[in-house]
Amino acid sequence: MAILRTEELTYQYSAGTPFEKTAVDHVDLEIEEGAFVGVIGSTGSGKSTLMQHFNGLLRPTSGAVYLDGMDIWADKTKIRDVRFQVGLVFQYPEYQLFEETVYRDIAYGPKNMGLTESEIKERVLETAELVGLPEELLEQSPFALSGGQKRRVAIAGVMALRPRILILDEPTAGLDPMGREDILGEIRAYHKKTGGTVLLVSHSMEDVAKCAEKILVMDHGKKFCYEDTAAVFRRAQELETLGLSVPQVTRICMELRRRGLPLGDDIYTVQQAARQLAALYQGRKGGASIC
Amino acid sequence: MNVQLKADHVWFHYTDEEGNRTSEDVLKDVSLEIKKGSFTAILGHNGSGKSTLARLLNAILVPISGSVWVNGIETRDEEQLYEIRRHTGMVFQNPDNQIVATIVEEDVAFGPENLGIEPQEIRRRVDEALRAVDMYEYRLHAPSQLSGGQKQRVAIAGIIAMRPDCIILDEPTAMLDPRGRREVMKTIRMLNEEHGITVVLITHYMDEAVQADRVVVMDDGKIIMDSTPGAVFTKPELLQAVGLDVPQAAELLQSLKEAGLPVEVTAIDEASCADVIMNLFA
Amino acid sequence: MLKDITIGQYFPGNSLLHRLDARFKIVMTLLYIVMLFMGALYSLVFGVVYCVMALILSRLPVKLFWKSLRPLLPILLFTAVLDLLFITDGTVYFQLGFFKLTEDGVLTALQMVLRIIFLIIGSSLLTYTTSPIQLTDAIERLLSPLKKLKFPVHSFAMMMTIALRFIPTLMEETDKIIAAQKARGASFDTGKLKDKAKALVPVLIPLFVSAFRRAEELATAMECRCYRGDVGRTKMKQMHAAARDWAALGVTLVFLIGSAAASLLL
Repeated sequence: MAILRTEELTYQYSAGTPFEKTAVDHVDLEIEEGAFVGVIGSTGSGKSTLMQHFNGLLRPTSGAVYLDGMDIWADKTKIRDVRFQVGLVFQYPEYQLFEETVYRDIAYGPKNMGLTESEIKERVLETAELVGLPEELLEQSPFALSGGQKRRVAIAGVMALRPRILILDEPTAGLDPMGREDILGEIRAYHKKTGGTVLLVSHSMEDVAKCAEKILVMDHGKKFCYEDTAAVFRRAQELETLGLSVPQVTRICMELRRRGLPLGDDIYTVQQAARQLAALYQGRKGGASIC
Repeated sequence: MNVQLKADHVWFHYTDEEGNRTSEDVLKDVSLEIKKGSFTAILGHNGSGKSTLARLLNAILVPISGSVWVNGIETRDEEQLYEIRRHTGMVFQNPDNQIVATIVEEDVAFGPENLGIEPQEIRRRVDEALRAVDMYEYRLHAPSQLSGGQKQRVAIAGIIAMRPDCIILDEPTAMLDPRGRREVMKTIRMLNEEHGITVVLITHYMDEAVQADRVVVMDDGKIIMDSTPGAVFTKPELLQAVGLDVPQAAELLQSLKEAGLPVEVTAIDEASCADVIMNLFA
Repeated sequence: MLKDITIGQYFPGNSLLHRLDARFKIVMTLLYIVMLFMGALYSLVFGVVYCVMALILSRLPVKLFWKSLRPLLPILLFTAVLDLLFITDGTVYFQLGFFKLTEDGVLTALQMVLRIIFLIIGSSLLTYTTSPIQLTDAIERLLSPLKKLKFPVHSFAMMMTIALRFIPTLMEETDKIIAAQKARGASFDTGKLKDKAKALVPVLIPLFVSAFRRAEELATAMECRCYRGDVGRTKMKQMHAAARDWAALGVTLVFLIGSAAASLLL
């Protein structure tokens, strides 16, 4: 059963004024429990606005969001509980750190949930480990850490809510390649360990290609498609017209197919391409020299 | 004189106000010469020392030992700071934190105003600079109404209007979305190709470094590679060892080579990679 | 949301009011305020007519002014109610227990409300039609005699420019931080006053940290653009008083004298 469902979800900024702008436009969506979903779209496609509806930070102008089949706005006073179940990590989350120690910053969310000290401690230690923060850092000031570590603290602060759905908005923005790999690796590990639903919002098709089982593509506030990763990359040319850049390896394979090589049309990682090309070569040349 | 920037056996570490050392060596005996009119990318991961090098090249910092020369002027000479900066512009990572004025054209005028240029001449330069970065129609907008890429182009216009010989850009696209990055990279290439301005681009994106004439790779405070993009990016193992990306074209050829196919890693763009692979099957 | 506030914003345009010299506009606004607060209800008419004229000349939509007034409605209402309650001289219109509605009360309330409304419309007109840079430039020039007294006029004007530049940026940032802390379960509208104040800490600390970082980066960027205070500095936009500026000032003075005469004679 779908854990999260939207029905005709629409959001307008400054509704009823001349500045009215539709940011999310009649989106119908069903997200399966435990899925790892990539969310892509260019700036202004409405992807970030859509995400803020999932945890009730924004209220739909029309339409509805259902969590476990319940309209999250059915009882306005319960909206805080929704936020604990749907954790949202904003872009550049390190800018929201404020506590004196890393420990206390990660503990902020669990504390707001009203947990006991021992429960809080358990969660802080667990999430710190998940994002690869060594225990000795916990008593340091978060402001003394490096950029990459600050970001880990901020992500841990949301993971510590133990949300059923974890949404991350551009978690790798501004990081160098190594920092990017580390964070993505930690998110994958989190998904594997907790089995929770993860939504990864990104501009980077490469990042999404590496992690996601399904991809939601947003364009001009509308759902462009929501399909399995391979199926989405099969539409590489369409994606490029939306202003999204598909991975270079996908473009290389498109070119090779155009030149007559019988490659699959759903390649989006270097490993896939190498495997198919090697097999093809082996088939043609008899495979004598292949190890 | 053909040399725009020169670093000569530069060592650097950070210090506090009393001069006590507060960091490890950030730069270790770095020597580098950058020719007038060239387009150089300095590539490295965070903490490799590349941003510190940029700050030394614009006299925001001075070396602990060794020396840096800008247009033949040594940066240690504080009297000449103004002279150095009027010829060497700097663009920073966060587009918001370098725009001073509340209206685009007023911000572009800020530099020339500081140089004491005649009002009519400033007007001319501002219009010209805004046209060059394709932001002329936004000249009366407030910076807060612009996208990140647009703000960064305004910041670049603010530098062009000072008519420098050289621009150093410190990760100018790190905070931008793909469209913003494309816009800014296009503008940077234009500065170099059409205006003949020496460009030094500090970045950790290999797809940007590929667009330069020369790529200098830094790791742990040292220069570990210094060559053309074609030569640098066809060495995937070396780059990956220092935590940098490789074009997927090179990565793919590398994987094929490792699988025992008779290929060499010689391509970094799509078309030539496809050529190499097609040759395999010919 | 915070970014919907329009007070202090600038709306580019090319009306007569937009083109007037900012120095004159500041002086005229000051004279206009004198006009509003001088004398009795009758002299207010001059200020109101003057303001409406300027409003028409600015060619700005009236809606904008309504937007800047709306947040102040409670204060207006409060002032009016105080006047009505506590001024008990003059003819009594209506009485209920100790509450007396009197002529003086009504007149004072009306005067105060009109004054505040037109004060806001008038000063909004100044900021709506004058770019903040022109405004600070003009203040810098109007204050330049103070340089002789070692008052740092230029630094003061630069500080104002930067503050104006960063207000929208910091507002947007505040919205973002609030949303991020809400996502971690913060609530800003429940509990006692003390709890509410405490709830602001997770917003204010990141905001200060960020403001300091911005200040530092901006200072470096300004130095790199050869900023050395007002040493050897020129301005792209020169201020030349044109005939229309003097004419506008003349009209303003006529209104001021008219209003003064009205308050003396009537």
